[in-house]
Amino acid sequence: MQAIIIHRILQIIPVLLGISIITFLLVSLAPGDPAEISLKAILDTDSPSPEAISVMRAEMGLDQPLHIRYFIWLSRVVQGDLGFSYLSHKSTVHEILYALPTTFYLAALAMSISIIIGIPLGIAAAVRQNGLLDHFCRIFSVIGNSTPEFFIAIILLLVFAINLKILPVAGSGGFQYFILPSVVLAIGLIAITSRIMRTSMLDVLEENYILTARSKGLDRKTIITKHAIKNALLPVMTYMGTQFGWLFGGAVIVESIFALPGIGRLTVEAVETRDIMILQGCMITFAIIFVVINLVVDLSYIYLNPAIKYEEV
Amino acid sequence: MKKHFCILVLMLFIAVLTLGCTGTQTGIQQSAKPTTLTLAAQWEPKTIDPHEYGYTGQRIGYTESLTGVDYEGKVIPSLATDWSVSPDGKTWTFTLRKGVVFHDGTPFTAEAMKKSLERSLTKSMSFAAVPIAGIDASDTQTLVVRMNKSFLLLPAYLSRGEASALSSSSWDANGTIIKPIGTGPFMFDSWKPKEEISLVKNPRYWGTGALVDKVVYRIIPEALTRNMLLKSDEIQLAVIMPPDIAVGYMNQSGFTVQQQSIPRVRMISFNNIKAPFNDARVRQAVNYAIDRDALITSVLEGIGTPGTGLFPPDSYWANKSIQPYPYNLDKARQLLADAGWKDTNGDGIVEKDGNPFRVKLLTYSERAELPPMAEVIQQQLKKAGMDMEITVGTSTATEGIFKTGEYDMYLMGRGVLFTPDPDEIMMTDYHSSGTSKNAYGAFRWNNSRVDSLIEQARTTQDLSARKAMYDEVQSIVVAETPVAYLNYYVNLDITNDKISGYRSHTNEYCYHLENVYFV
Repeated sequence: MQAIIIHRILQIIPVLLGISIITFLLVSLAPGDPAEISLKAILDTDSPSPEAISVMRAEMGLDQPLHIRYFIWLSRVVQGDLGFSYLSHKSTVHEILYALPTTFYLAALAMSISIIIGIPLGIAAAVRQNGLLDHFCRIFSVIGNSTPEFFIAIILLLVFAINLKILPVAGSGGFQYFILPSVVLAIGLIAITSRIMRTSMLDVLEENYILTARSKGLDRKTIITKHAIKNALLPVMTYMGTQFGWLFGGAVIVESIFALPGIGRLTVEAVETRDIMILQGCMITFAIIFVVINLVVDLSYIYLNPAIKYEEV
Repeated sequence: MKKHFCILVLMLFIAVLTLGCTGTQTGIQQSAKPTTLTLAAQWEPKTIDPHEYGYTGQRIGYTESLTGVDYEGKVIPSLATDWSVSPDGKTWTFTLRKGVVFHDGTPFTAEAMKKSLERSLTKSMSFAAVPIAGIDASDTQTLVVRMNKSFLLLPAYLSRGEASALSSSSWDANGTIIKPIGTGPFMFDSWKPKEEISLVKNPRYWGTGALVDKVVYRIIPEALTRNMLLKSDEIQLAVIMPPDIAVGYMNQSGFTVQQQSIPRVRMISFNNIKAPFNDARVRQAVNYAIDRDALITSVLEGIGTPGTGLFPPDSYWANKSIQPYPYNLDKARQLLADAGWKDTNGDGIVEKDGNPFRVKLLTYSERAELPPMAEVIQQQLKKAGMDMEITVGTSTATEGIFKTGEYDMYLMGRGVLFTPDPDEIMMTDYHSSGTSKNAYGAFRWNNSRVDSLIEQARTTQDLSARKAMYDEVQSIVVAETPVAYLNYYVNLDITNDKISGYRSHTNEYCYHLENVYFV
């Protein structure tokens, strides 16, 4: 067991290294001189002087060749030094740590909502296949999955914040500020979660051991609650785990609309202002979160399902 | 298993809930008595240090500088009541306002201003072009600024937020900001990054005091969200709204839309050294062939002011006597014919020496309205017999082409008053020393009268005399038309009718929230 875990952790290293190269190249090779763009923002002018640009280039370390810049950059990143925002003069780590709790909270809340609603909905739809609820569930998932988040956000804002005036529009002053954004994020997730739960449930209900249980004379309720759900949940949990990372992506839009100070908004602003250090920091943070969550899901899979044995990898 | 699972989910949910409650628990103050003005803007201060990022403090009113900028965009007294310069232009003397105290109660003196300005010079890159040799406090109310060389724009530069007066208790021994302690009508209370800045009224303000007790400045990057906040009554003022949203408020009772042209002009810069635009008559023909009102109605949702000269009409520096080019196709065709361009083969496009009129217009996509505007111009010019091809790229890419001179027209948005004085834009865009170096304005164009007027204005102190010189420059430029001014950018601010007293500022220099009150 331990060997498997160590092996899986070691597998992460090349993945992260690859990500670091892509991140670095994407930002370095993007058109435009970062020094000039920074100066335009700092000085609020269209044409900063060439002297100022060359000073800025040296300050940002842009006068070195690309591969040398990568290794300098990587060695600093490994030591936890992701540089400074040229705008706020705060360290990237500080900015990200400030933003991360908001996004975690938002993602966790959205995840909770989608578990509480999506899983029972999927079970109910499977138990009464082709019933009224199943049809409703199908329509809901098509709409929920195909409607863009910003559109759902506007509709919910119009209803709950402007017409009913029961929830605030934007900000992060307390729990009530997180209700609408997390519901927006949860809707797309519920749509898929309920479908996967339904499919998985239907598969399980056709298994031989269910037939055995039924022929043994167990009542339907016991079969479903004691035998079917337990087994049907496994693929859903895997899916949900990976979706936690996806929620961070959805946060980019939702945090901008609801003006939440999370990492999604930090990324958008870093792109707009070409705040390179912050942008690289955000991309690496997203990558690490994704990789770590995948690892946790993988490992929990082994733990949860003794039938799966990662004997030789 | 199901039971366990339910408990797990429930616990996760509760944990998440409590996590949220332990965070910032300030919420929105709902008490009726002390009045709180709440506004939303997209601008986020990158740091709370006004000497590094000065706009926010100046706009919402907790900092002030020696000079200010009025609604017409000209430099006016603020913390300095009067200033003068020695004949050689190297020594500036500022008389400071009496009876001003910082928010911490310490008096505002020349010595305090000297310390504050010296810190500005080290903290901000805004003064890189200002040749300051030294600052002296000659007595408590007199500040002397010595220059390395003659520099007449100092009062304009000192209006910047980065030059605001801060009490020395604003920063610690290392020079790091603790809290901005200025002199403005509001005192800084708190800052939640990416969320809001709270201010309270300054009871000891030297001018007319503020009419509201508190101000909350909310940082909302999405215009859509500012729109929602306005609709739900959470804010009373939303600044810089896009035209499509503002149009919806224009006929709606309970709201007021303020339309303010800002010193940024959309214009076409001609390639003045290349045929056909090396002929002024052809450039004038383009001016007559463009229907400026149609550009505004079809591309800008009807919001905009047709371009006349370099500065928007309500700016102090605008030459208000300039007549805009009217839309006149006959005149355009006539001018083209005078220049030798006639439609001889009847295909609708004019020719000269057998070559059809075909020009290339360059523009960029970062300013979203420019490419559609280029398409409308293309149709308009075709009516006068001019065939125009459009190249759209990123601003970096088009700038590269622009610098090589491989273009005929460059459509762009150009900010014209980065410092509240025309000198900078005149020198870079219209004086031959600037136009010879790929200027964004009159590309490779020069006019000796314009050169001498701009030089003369640099050494003239009298404001109205300088304005007369710049007025003449503007009329020469419009007549010779090395550039075609199309229209000005407009800021749209929306207030709800619960408040009164707000006025949009031409370059967003200051919101003057001290004049705002609840009706």
